[in-house]
Amino acid sequence: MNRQTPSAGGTRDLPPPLRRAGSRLRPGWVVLLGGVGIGVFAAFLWVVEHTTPPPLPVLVVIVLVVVGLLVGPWAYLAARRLDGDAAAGRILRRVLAGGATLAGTGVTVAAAIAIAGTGEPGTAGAVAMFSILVAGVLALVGVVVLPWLFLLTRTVTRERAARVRAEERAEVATHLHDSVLQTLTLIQKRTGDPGEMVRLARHAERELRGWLYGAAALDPDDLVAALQAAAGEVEDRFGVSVELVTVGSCRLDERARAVVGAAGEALTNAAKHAGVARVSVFAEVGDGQMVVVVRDRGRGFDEAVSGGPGGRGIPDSILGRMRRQGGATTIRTAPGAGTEVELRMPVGRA
Amino acid sequence: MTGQQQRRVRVLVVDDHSLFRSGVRTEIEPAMEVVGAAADVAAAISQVRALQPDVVLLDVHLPGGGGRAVLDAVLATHPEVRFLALSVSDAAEDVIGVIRGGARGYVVKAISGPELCEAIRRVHAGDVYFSPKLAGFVLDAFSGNPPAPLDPELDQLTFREREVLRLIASGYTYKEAAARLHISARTVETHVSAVLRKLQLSNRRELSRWAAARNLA
Repeated sequence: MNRQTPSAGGTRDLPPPLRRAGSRLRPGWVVLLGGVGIGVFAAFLWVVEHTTPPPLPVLVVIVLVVVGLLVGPWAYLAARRLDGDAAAGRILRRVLAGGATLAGTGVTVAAAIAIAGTGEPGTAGAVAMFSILVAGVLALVGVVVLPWLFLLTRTVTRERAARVRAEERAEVATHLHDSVLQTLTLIQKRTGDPGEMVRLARHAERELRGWLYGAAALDPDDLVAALQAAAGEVEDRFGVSVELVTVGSCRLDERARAVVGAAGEALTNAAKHAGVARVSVFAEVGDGQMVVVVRDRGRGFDEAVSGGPGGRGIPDSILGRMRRQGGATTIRTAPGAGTEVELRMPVGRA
Repeated sequence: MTGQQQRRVRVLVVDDHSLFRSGVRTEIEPAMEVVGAAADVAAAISQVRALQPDVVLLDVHLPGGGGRAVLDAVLATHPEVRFLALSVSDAAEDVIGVIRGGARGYVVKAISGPELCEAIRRVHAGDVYFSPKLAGFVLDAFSGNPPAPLDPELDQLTFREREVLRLIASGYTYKEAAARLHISARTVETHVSAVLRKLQLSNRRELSRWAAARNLA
């Protein structure tokens, strides 16, 4: 979506003072100069082939100018594309220094030979020419070819990263559209019903949270995932908020299923009868057992009174269910003191 | 109570969402004095130094380095400032990170106004505020017995500390937990403070490994 062009990428990270676009040569002129350099080099080769070499100093100057014209413009173009990139700049400077040293050494050696007057007559000129040409080739490879390869791979990497980003973005957009946007639309239509608005908002929050913080990684065969689902269902049905805190988890076997079922029933009772807006659930798996505590600060009830507010719910859906799987239930309550249902179950060997 | 009304607690709200900042202000304003607000790490640090608030409400996720960066910078020069962390995040690693960095408590943003005031008061008084969520994270972090704890004094929770944390994780207030365990609220506070100290000083390698693993999920 927001794909940046590679050329823009090259100078994008530069601090403004370094980007003196106005004081720069136009690329067209530089390319033209480079073309002229190639032409001059070809002419130079022809001249070397067909005429006698001039005196050494003149030869050195001519070779330097020709090689400079040949390499310079291209090096300038490459350097311009690369500037702002510290690592590339360092390599560039090293290559240039290496080339200059090589050419300098060659010329010095040639001068030494010429002054000493030893060897064949053309030796000094050949040494000077050879060293300057090698330096030119080195510069051409180091300053033009390598940076070109470097830019090419960087462009490929950037494009790949941009593509990955675009895909991720599309995925996020899809998810937000299906969940949050839909909910917001629904909420705008139901402004007359605060309860429904709260329910919708809570549902969207739960879903978004699960998506953001990796609940997707929980497989459905997991105690915590099952408790989250049960809590979500109660939140949606009764418009209360369930604060679920879990420590550890285990596979959802028969026993764990019984615990989740009993916890769901306890939650439903709290939501229906306690008369409070919030219910707490704490679940811990460890030391060979799982413990789930469902707690509210609501009305409470008198355990001695038969057929209490839970109806048959407590004996059947909670106590019976837990007992059948070898678990224990403790209920702490009194009128006005809230209700706490504690479910304990040995952890099955999976 | 009267003592608290004479001088209201001075609070700085650090959060990058302006809606949330103004929401917090309206919820706690009568009881607390909101002296300022900041939306990123740099502003938070300079605001704390300029305004010297009693308590900083610190969002765990902040542009410019996160809540941890604010803690590190401020506590180095102003150790007397108390921090209460809050976030919408369920990522244990981030929460444990700010607590280890020196925050004295953690609450989720869904907390009600009165509860938030209570948490601020407690942190201001030099105590520790563990919300159910934080108690759960801490129990999780210290669960399992490492074969050879580097320092058993620090790397493990006592039986009583675990009991207290379990009750807080189940939604008990300190007072309710004290009644349930037949101890004083002050003793509950002592246990919670000890847990906080262990969390901040513990060398357990498992602690960071656990947090990292949790966040991967």
